[in-house]
Amino acid sequence: MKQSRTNKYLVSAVLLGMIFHGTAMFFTVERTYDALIHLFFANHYATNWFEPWSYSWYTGFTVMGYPPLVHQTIGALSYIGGLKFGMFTVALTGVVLFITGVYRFTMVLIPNKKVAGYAAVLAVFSSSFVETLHIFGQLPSIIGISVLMHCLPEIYLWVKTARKRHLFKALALLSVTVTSHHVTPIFGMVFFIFPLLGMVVMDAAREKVNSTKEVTVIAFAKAVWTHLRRIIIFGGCSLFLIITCILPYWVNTKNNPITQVPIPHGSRDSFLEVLSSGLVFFVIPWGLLMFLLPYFFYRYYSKRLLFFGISFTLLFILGTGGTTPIPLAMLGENAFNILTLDRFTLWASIMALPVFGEFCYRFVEGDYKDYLQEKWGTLVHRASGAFLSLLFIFIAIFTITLGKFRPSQPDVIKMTPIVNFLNEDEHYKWRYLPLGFGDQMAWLSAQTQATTVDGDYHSARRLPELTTRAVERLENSKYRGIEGIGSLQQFLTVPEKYHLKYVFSNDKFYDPLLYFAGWHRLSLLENGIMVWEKAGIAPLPSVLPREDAPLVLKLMWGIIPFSTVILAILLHLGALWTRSFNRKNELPLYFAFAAKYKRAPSLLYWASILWTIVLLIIIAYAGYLFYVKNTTQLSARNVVTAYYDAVDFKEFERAHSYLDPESDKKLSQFMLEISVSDGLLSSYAKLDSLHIDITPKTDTTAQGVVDATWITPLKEIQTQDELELIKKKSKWYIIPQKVDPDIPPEQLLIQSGTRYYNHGKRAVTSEQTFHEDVLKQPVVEVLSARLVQLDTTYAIVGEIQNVDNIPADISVTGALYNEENEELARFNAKDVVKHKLLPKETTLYRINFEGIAWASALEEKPTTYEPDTFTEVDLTDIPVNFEVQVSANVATTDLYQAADLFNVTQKDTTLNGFLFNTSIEEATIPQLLIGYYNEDKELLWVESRYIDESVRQQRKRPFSEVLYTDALPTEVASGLATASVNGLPNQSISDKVVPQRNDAGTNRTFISVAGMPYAYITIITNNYVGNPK
Amino acid sequence: MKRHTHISHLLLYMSILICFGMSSCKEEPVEVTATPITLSINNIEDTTVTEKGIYISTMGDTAIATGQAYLILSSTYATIVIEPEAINNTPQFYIPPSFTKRSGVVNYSLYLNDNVTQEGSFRLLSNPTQLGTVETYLGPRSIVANVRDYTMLVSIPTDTLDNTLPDNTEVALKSQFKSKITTTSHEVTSGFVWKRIYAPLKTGRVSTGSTIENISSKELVADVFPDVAQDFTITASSNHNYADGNEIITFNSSQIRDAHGNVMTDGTLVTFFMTNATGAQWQITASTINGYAFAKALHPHFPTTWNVRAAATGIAQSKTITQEFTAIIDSIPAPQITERNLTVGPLTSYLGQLVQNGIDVQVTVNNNTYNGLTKNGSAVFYLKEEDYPAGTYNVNVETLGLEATYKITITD
Repeated sequence: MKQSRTNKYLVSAVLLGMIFHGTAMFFTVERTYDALIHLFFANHYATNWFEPWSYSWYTGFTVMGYPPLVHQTIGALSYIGGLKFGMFTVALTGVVLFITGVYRFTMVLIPNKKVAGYAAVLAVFSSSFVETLHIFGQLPSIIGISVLMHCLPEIYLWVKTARKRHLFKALALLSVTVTSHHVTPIFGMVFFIFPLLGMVVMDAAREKVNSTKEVTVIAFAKAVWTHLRRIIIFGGCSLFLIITCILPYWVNTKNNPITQVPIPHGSRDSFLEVLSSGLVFFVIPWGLLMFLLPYFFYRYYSKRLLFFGISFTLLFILGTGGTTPIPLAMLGENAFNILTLDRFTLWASIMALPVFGEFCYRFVEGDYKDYLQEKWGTLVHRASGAFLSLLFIFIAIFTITLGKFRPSQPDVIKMTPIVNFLNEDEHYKWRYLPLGFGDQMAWLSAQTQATTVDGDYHSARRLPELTTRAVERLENSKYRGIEGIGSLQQFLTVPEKYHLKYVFSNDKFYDPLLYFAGWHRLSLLENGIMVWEKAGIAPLPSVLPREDAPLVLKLMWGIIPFSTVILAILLHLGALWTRSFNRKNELPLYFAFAAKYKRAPSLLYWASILWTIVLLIIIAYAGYLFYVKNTTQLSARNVVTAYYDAVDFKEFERAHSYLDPESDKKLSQFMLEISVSDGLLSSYAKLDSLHIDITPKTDTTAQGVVDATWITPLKEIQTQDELELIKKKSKWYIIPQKVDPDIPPEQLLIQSGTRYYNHGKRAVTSEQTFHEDVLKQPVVEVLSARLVQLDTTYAIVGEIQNVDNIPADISVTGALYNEENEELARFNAKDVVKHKLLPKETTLYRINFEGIAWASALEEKPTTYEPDTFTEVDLTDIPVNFEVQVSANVATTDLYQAADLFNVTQKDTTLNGFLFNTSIEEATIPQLLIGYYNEDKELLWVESRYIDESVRQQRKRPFSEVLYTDALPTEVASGLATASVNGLPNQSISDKVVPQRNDAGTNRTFISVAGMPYAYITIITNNYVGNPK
Repeated sequence: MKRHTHISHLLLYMSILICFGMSSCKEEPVEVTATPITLSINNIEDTTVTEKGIYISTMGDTAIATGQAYLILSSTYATIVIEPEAINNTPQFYIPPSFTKRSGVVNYSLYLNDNVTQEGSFRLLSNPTQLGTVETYLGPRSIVANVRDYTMLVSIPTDTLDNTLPDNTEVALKSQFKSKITTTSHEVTSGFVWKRIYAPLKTGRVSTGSTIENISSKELVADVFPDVAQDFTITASSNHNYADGNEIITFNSSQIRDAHGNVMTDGTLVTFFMTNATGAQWQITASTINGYAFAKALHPHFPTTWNVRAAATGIAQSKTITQEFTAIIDSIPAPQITERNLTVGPLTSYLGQLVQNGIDVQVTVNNNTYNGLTKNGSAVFYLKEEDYPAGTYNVNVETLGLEATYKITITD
């Protein structure tokens, strides 16, 4: 019998895999979570192979925190066709390795070439593999597990035959696994290699006796004893490899232990509570395999595969994340919070592939076919076969396109304009911060030499501002409530500490925060990214701190990973060479243990049927629940939820479809009303929670009270709406609310004004600034400064006036000193100050002293989001003195006065009035700075209030603000002796510029209040113009 | 047998090592075999800087071995060691151009066989006959038109080799303001000259420059901005003075100037404050254009009298003016109720026309206050059945500064 030994199933599987994944990956991999991060690392190696330090992220970090093989391979390939060529080549290699790996793994477990061939074909469409590659983009993980599967047959043969070449091959492959992914070999040891060893011993025990039944515990123990030496040799060698191959990684882990607080990950959620996590981390990876669980357990708990059964069960349970308490108990708190548990499901579903292949083989052409055709008839058997295969492929296709339907990343951003911006005018000499970029920030970092304070590999973080927060990245901080925005606002308030000068905003959500923290818009790049700039930030020093690694480690890191691959290839080429001359068609040893397929016990059949029915019922029930909850107009509650959801996502046509069709509010009218509403609530808020109280009135009418909480970058907004609901033709509708009928007094507004443009006297040259190019810093004067204490909190409050004839952009820094004049704390005024001042304009300011939030693990974190709270700095001593430093730069933008105070009156504890906009710009977000004064007109406290809605041109916006009612803070120290402006003493400015300061205007600013713990207040308006004309 | 050889080899190596160690430990005095030589140089004269280097001739022996004689020169630029080279059979020291290009004091020491035999110093002088450039600096770049402020012009003339010129070199510093050009002559001290240019009392631009012989500097300018503002006056202008809440009244300032009559720079902020008898406050900001500030305000929707005053905080202010707004309506018409809709209005204005949309109307029924806005002259309030069963209620209506109470009857 001289047949071709090529397995046609395997060949077609590999071809199919390359076509399927090879085509799809060009549309998916770049939008995955991880692929671009690996690309960034690859770029690092491509530019500097032996250098472990990267300045690009986190003010510098070591790349020795991630095994380098895959990154180095992409980096090496990038010399041929660029980084993305390298990435796709590695991904395609991963696909081939995975399919062939499953084939070889199946051969060991179920020694049948056809079964292995089936498993290889199934591996192509395995939804967990599709998800890992096309949704998560975990290239190292895929390469790692694939090579590990290639390694398993060699381990088997070594333990079985004790031939050294198998040991060497096994160890070579294992070291490739180790250098591509660190977690895979460690857990692979436990979940793949241990059961394999068990299986080898089981096989050996079986050889000694006549039937499987005779393999008793004693026989097994004897076999263990005889194979113990080989197992120990293998175990010792592999442990050695795991340590030495990536020794720099372990050294780095020891030197820089991960201080990062756990970052929430969907795979740790309870899948029943967070359905989206359940879908992504459980339903999709298991897919069709769910239906065959009884068969998997039946097969894996057969005697030969018993250890795999245990391993499979463990993986299955660990993969359920936080749904049951078992994974937490098994892994312990630490490991549970560091590991992402989706990998267990991936491994479990990969482990299921051999048996799944076996099932399909038996179903298509084996004993089950006969059994089922006999029982159901040919047609039903074939139809069900066709249905199952279609469903299997459908799930794979659904998974691959999931990123399209539910985009996990923002749209692709063209990086060239940003890269050009950073290159021009030496902008790379400052740090930048991307906002709303998703994982594409890694792609930006890969293309520029400029550095950022953010980064996309959180294990490598060093700044305590970041490691103490459960924030993935600053750039998507809005999804993490206070921890996110809290982290971000610290960076934006004290940017000089990080040399942070440019922010690239791809999400206008952050714009108000940037504005009120003193940043201004520079330009809109052609790719739609808004560049924000902060004035007066010093460039990065030319020498930056770095942590060097010993030369040995650097060499190891640069040389070993590639060597392992070359070694593994050489060893296998040698084996191929000898095999091609080996005429004897010899099957590997494990083929002696092939299972004989008889009809399965009917118990399995019935169990499977029952399980299928149970699953179908669950699916049907889930579907029903989904229908009831999501059919928008089925109940009054649903329509309100849907309406708010539509408004939140700005899908106004959908929102309009929930309004009573018989009302006079046509879509065009509705859209018109939307278009004239702007402001913090309409344009910068994200719906956080919704509490709906429905009171049915009649069968067809109801009243709903909706309490909604909206998160904005500046504050949390609570709204309460009363909605009238009506049911028409079995659908519920909302009766639309009335609109503000206010009409502006004038038709055409004419306004003249002063505008500024600053271009220095710069010649077109890359030479550094000339003397005549430098603008004088505007002169501002600190009018008052007072250190106040409220309980244990200290703050500096006061007033500043721009006394120059040019507009100023001020940055106010306060410092606290103890009795010995030692500095205790230093911080900048965040948003309780007006940063851009016209000539002679005055602002109030308040400097809070922020510490790094939750730097100690014992501190209790707030459970709710409060954007205006902050962590107070932990003072080591009592402050008795203080200092205020103002630095001013010429401001040319955001000087618009668009909202004025009208008819302000006090009624009990509220301040009523309205803002009127006399200008031609819409005041998108008005801010009121309220100063509180005692009887002696001494300023003791300053507050900032944001008005939720915008003030349109010549329109009114009523406000009603509850005044500060607590006792005023007490004064600790006051005076201007320690105030300085642009490095000069404040007194010298005051003597020179306005020596005869009088009370002009100041008396009029005071609004006297009655019945409050203070005597007067003053109000200063500020406004963010979202869309300057 | 085999082991024996090993051990013997080891012993051999060790003994060799020890021998070496011993020998290197011993400190044997090194025999100095330097032949005494005689060499001296003439005192080096002060000389101007040169690009060509300087040769220093020697006297004495002509045959000198390498390392026997060397000259150490030290200036503000660097310290160098040079050995003599034989030129025409006499050893000469050649000071390289990189060293002779920089002016300053040079100390030198001649070493023969590592002993100092001669020391001295000379000066490299800058070359006032070969003038290069005049660097000037001016700051601050903007000053205020008063007697307190000034800017400073600093000038640093240099020769072609970029050395500052010697003291007492004459440099002319010039400045121009309006039609006046001032030229003053200054002597270089420590390499530079400087001059304070006091602010003129008019706004404008001071241009400055400096020259030395035929060499000129760049032009540098300083802007002269106005001094702090003086008190000013304000006036109001409006189409009418009805309190209809729908007309813009403009308050404008007189041209705001400083004590010397200079007009404020554009963009100077002026705040207008209005208060009325009840203590309500209005606050409107305006920035000046050519010294005039225009503040626009909306007429109040109730009759009142504003006391208006404008100010640049802490600096200057206007006198208070009053602005009266008269009522547009005498009384509030009785509200009507139809199908639980309480309608206040139609309200009419001073010509009998309907009031504008968006006028506040506040009604209080059973201690519940509702705020509404007029549309087509009327404000409509829906009184819910659950809150107001059929019956008679007192309705208090407040709008346009008037207040009235009426009785209404709700029937079902």
